[in-house]
Amino acid sequence: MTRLGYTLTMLVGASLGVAACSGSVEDMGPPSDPTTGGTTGSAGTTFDHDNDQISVWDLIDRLTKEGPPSFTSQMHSCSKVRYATLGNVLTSLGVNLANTATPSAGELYRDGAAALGAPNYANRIRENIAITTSGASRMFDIFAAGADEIMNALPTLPRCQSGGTGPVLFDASNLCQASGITCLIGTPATQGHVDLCNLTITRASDPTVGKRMAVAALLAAAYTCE
Amino acid sequence: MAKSQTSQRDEHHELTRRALIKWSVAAGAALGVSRSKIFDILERTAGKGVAFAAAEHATTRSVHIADGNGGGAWYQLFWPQVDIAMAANPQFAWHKPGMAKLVPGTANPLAIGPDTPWATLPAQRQVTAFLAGNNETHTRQPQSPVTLNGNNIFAIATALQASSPSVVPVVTINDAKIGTAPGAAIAANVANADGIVGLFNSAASRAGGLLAKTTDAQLYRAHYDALFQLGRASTRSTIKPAFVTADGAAAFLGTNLAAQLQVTPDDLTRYGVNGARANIVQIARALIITVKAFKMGLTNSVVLPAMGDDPHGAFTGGDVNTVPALLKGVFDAFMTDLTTTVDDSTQVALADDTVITFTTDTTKDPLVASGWPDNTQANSNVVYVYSAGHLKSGWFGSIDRNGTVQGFGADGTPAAYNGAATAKYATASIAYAIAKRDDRAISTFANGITVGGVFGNLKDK
Repeated sequence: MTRLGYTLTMLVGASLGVAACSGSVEDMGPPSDPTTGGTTGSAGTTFDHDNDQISVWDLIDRLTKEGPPSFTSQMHSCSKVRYATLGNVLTSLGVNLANTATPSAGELYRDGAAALGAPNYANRIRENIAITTSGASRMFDIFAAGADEIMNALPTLPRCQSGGTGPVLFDASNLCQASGITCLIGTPATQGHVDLCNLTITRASDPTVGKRMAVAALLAAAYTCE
Repeated sequence: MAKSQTSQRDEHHELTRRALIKWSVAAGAALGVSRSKIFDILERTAGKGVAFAAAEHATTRSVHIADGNGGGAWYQLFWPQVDIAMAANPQFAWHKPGMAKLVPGTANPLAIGPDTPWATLPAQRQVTAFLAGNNETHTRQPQSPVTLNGNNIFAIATALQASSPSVVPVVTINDAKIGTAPGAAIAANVANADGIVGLFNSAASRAGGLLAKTTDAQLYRAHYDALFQLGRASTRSTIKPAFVTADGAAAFLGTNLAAQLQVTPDDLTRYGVNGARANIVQIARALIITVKAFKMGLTNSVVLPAMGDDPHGAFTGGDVNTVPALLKGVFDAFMTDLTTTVDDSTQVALADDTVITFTTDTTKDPLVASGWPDNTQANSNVVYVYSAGHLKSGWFGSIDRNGTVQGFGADGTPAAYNGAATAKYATASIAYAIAKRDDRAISTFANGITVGGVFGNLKDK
């Protein structure tokens, strides 16, 4: 039992002991039933506990396949993308990191080292490992600012050429293309990616914004974890 | 795509990472469980990120009133030289003769008057005043009171604070500068206090940006959530904490923080600066925005120029009867805000986690009110520090009514005045306070100066 368990056990035992040592049984009077609904709350006043029960057999199956949490936390944890890695990714997507325009993805990247958790070796501070709100929001901001650059560069990116032909993200009807998404996120795009991409375009305030937002959101989701 | 159970629950009960932290810390306190145990529990159940956020910062935030051009002389009317104030001599540069009183319980003597800010703070939280540095009449960026072994204490502060993540590590206003120090952050400079607000708007949320429209911002967040769920590892329990953080970031991206940061008419009324002179209003605006930015963890340090008005005629012209009281109102309101505002991530009152420094090029002659000349005894200068209790309160060093100057040595005891040496002790003490009494953390900069137990209080065991 942990120390916390011992502490709670002792507290409970002490409270019971107080009653036990009183020496007499006090007449508590007739029991009074609480009024109906007097002790119950509602959705707005109670905490909604996670009641999703997992079957023991499903749990065993999962542990068999995935391994124990001490292992999976290393295999499937979500550390942030390293600052230098992010720069490499942006460059590979056609973003000009030396861009001095304001605001531009390059400028946001250069000026965002601290927010992005870059290492500070002069002060013996390592790179942040965990994702932070400031770091993630800055990275997402970079993707948003660089969406136009990336869309323009995608067809000619060396990393996505096949037989001298590059992919396209959107066809003439502003429909998302799986090949372009695959190039963007670096993993094979699923139908879900394509559908969400199309939904983003149609639901945005206008198609141009929608396309930029789709690129930004796809990149943000793909590069949230390293 | 159907939303996950967690997403649905989030919508109904606005469960956020911060709410989880708040609940956990409060529940732990009710059960008598130590904070460190709470962090252990949070780490095991919710991940390192949540536990890290719940733990208090290793350093304080800092506000540096970097006055110049003689403007720092005003602070001498808050925390005067003890013997000079108690002499009650109307010829002296103390505007309330006969009204000074000693603060009981401070580690070293400290006198205050009717216009002294923070007068009701406990003795341990009263200001620490160092007779330190050299008179540098006149400059906007005096160096001697802010230099520690060749490095600038404002820059050192950012280096110490590097372990506390923020959107912008340090903000400088107008011509305030942080100087240099190894590992220091790059300051984000803004033209005035209101320029701070612009720093914390994402490019996407600004006018003309991708998410300038609320509907687009909401759409972005929703589709980011959905796209994240398409990841093969997204269902892993070990991914959940990071997703919560990233989801918050996606919402932050489309949030225009101007409304939350900007100064309101009510703020100005509380700070008592309606109709006040421009430099006082600017100080108030900067401090108002600083509190809001600290609360949200947007920055760790703000450096602002202050009065800069070289008030030679303050006594003869009568400004001493109005300006100190106005400034007292500003700084009192600032302290009230710091005391009543908690850091969103640590749930600690900002007043417990903020160091405030006052530096200047000259305090002006404390013994001569008429014309308030710039020269000072032994060419001395002064550094004032609100250290949130990390330093010993009261004066180190003194000037008495006869103009005799007493400095202090590395052991804190009286010694012949040496401007450079005393400045090192004062700036090392500031670093010590920012590092929350960690002598080892500041050793790189302090280079052998021991603060704990001498100028600073030792760590609680």
